[in-house]
Amino acid sequence: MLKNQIAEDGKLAWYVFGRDLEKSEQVIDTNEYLIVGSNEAMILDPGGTEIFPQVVSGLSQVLNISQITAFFASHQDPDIMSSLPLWMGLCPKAKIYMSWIWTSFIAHFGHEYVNQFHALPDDGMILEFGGGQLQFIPAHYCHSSGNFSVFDPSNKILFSGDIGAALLPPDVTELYVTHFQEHIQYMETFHRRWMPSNRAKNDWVRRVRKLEPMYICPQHGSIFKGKDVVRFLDWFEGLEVGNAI
Amino acid sequence: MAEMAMEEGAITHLPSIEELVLIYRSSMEIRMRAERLLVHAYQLARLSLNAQIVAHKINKLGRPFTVIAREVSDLAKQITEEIVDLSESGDLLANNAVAGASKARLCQKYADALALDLEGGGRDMIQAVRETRGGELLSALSLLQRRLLNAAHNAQNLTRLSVHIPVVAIMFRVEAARAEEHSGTIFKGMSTELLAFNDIMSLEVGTLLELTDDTLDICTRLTTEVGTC
Repeated sequence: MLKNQIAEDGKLAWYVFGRDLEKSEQVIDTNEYLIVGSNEAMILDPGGTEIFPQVVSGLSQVLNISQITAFFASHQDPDIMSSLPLWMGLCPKAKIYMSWIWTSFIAHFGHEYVNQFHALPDDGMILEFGGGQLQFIPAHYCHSSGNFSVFDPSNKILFSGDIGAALLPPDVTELYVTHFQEHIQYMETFHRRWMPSNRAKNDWVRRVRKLEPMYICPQHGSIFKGKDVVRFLDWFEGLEVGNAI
Repeated sequence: MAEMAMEEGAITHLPSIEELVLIYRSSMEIRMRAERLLVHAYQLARLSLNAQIVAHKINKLGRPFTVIAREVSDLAKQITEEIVDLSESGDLLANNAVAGASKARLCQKYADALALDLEGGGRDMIQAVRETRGGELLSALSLLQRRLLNAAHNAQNLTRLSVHIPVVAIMFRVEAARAEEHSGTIFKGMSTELLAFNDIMSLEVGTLLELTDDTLDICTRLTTEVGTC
């Protein structure tokens, strides 16, 4: 599993783990993100049960697992956090942030941890975390009906969940997008089909433009950096989605 | 194959998810067969009620039939109780087996993580959690064994009860030969039904006994194979 530090501003450090070569071919490749602050660490979309061993091994190269204090689930899909019972076995006191609409659903992954659930309101919220700040940005219907992105205003990093996701062929292993136009082919089908609402999509684009992120980090595929962030937002805004009807 | 761990002082061998799934399948089959038997037990209860009604209708001539019908009723009651108990054991068995499989999956994933590079305190932490979950898995296995023993006990009781059925069926047939043509035919038919029920029950119970014995063997093997070094 590849590991890379995206940025560090003295308060929060961001790491990405992905391109797991040992995972089964039937399992979609995912990126897991780790934010490390002073005395606190959060895993964003910790991933499915199948890839837990690789993720925990990768993370242990960066921090002591016992330092993990929080998890964030952008939405409810199994590739997002079906590994929850495994993680909560290791970090039983960790908080779990998720949309309020999914709390009783995600409880099916491990109901004994519901006291650790922190339900995010539809408008999102600001969390003081590890000496820095994290903003939970509403991304409802992109693609899930209760969906959030996470923004670190200091590092200017936006974790976008399934927005910006790309289904890369095995031979494309780059962690960062290098040729945006070529990258479109890996994103287009996914976004047209998985994103159900043009209105919701454009609302998210409008919110994100105001944040002026330097990085957009999706849960699948490569990270957008610098000018590719704007290229992605322009492309996504112009895309007609919800094409299965 | 059951997982093999590598740490000294750690649990070295835990049942795998595949083995727990095997127990789950057997549990489901025990439940399914118990439910099928329950349907037959209700038919037996109906038969005993019919016998009592017919015996009552033919007044004095029906006295011997009334006595036999009561026998059938007692048998039907005992058999139904055993089958209901067996069916409940089947439900609990299937639920426990699913819970066990889920714990085995967690243990397997922790073991997979331990086979990879782990730094910091990660290895000790994962090993400790795996041992806790492993302990829970073994408790689930021991609960499964108790439930299987209950199911086997129910099946043995059914075997004992089934011995009486042909006797009652023959008594019906003997009395039917002495009775008037119409009621004689009815009781002869009931005797045939009883024997048919017994054939079905004996077959099902035989399979159930084999199933519970085999599954108990798996549980016992899995429990004894667990070890620490």
